[in-house]
Amino acid sequence: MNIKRKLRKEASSFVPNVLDKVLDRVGYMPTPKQPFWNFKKLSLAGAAGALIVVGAVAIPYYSNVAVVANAETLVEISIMPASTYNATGSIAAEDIPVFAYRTDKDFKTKVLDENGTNAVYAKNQNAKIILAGIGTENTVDKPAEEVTLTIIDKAALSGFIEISEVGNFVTVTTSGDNLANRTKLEERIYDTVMEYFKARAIYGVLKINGNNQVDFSGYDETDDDVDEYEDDYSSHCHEHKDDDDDRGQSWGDDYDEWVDEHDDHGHNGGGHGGRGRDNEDND
Amino acid sequence: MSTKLESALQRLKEHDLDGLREIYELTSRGVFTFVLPIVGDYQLAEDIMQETYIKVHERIDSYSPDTNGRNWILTIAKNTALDELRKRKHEESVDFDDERQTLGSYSLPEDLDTPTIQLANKILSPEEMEIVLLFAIGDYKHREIAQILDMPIGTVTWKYKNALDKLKKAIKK
Repeated sequence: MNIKRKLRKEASSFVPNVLDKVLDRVGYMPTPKQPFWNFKKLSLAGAAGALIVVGAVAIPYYSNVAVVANAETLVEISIMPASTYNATGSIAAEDIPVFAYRTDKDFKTKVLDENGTNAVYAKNQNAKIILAGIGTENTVDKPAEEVTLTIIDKAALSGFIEISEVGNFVTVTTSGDNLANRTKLEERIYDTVMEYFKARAIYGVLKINGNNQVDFSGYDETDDDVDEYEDDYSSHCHEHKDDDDDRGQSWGDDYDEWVDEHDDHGHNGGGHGGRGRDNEDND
Repeated sequence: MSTKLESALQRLKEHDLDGLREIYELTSRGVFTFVLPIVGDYQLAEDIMQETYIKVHERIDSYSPDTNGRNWILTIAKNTALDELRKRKHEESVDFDDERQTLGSYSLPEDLDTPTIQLANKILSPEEMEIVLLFAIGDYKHREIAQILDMPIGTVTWKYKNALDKLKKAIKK
């Protein structure tokens, strides 16, 4: 039983979504896609003729494009072991491996180009190092959560996920027009990755779209020390979310505070039993 | 360095409505959990959240880039909520001793699929419930909650821990 986990899992159901109503009221219109044909340039007769001639081809084409575009989701993953932060609390953006892939309506990964070379894009050098040796058989037309795990697992093998008390941050950001599709995908990824952390007793923090979803499932929750550490670490991760260094989310000016907290973690050995009350008491 | 929220506000200021979408995604949890304890009613909090983002859109020209974006949005949310309470007070002749709602629990829809939150709403004091909402759902820091509730940070963390203990015991029963 982990109360905080339960609360956070329920958060998305609890907070109402009024975005569509807001956008509707302010007159938001999504950017129109480029039309396949510019019918305005055709005469009425020409257009009618063109419709008859190409109708059998064009209508299925449009239908297909609409479905795929609507269902497509872009997923971006970055992985940060907490210990990579140096004494000043900074980490160069290029040191954080970042990956991206696209999924179709069935949450399966799509190839990056017509050659079908790979479905995962390594956005920087560290990501390329991690992806080295991963073939299309592991990434193309695979369930998104499976590919996500492949990436995290390879990152662990390369030392970018630490099996230690220090902690690991994995950030998943999704984008796409179909919000329902994205939400489902996020849930699948969240459950799978947290299960992965749990099975390996990894201190793992998975943040979806910057929202804190913190879990330390690999530890005995009846241990008071672990509970205290969870409180501390949960706060710690909230702090990180609010940093103004653009690693996490955006609201707040508390970068220095997070660094101090992080230093405290280090000075106390980083272990879950090494801390007393929540650090925020000492602020 | 500009944060994502401030960047999104700047985009909206430049009439890019995708900026409003991003602002919403970054702040909606925080706004809702901030407003709900003020008004005490889920449906009303939802309406006020909607009005808040409409006003963010309408008033974006008054937003200054050197302003804390979240505080700017929360100020709009708070004023919208208090205006609505005052309007209702006037209409219904209800006495409000304080601007903050002090009901024992919030009015939540029955069809919400959030059993833990609903249990918390039943067994926690209003103050504990507010801290749990702000911290676990709204993603506020303890220090920020202390500022919002005007209480020492140690009290916030203590009450939060107590609230979790109460919930654990209630669930075990």
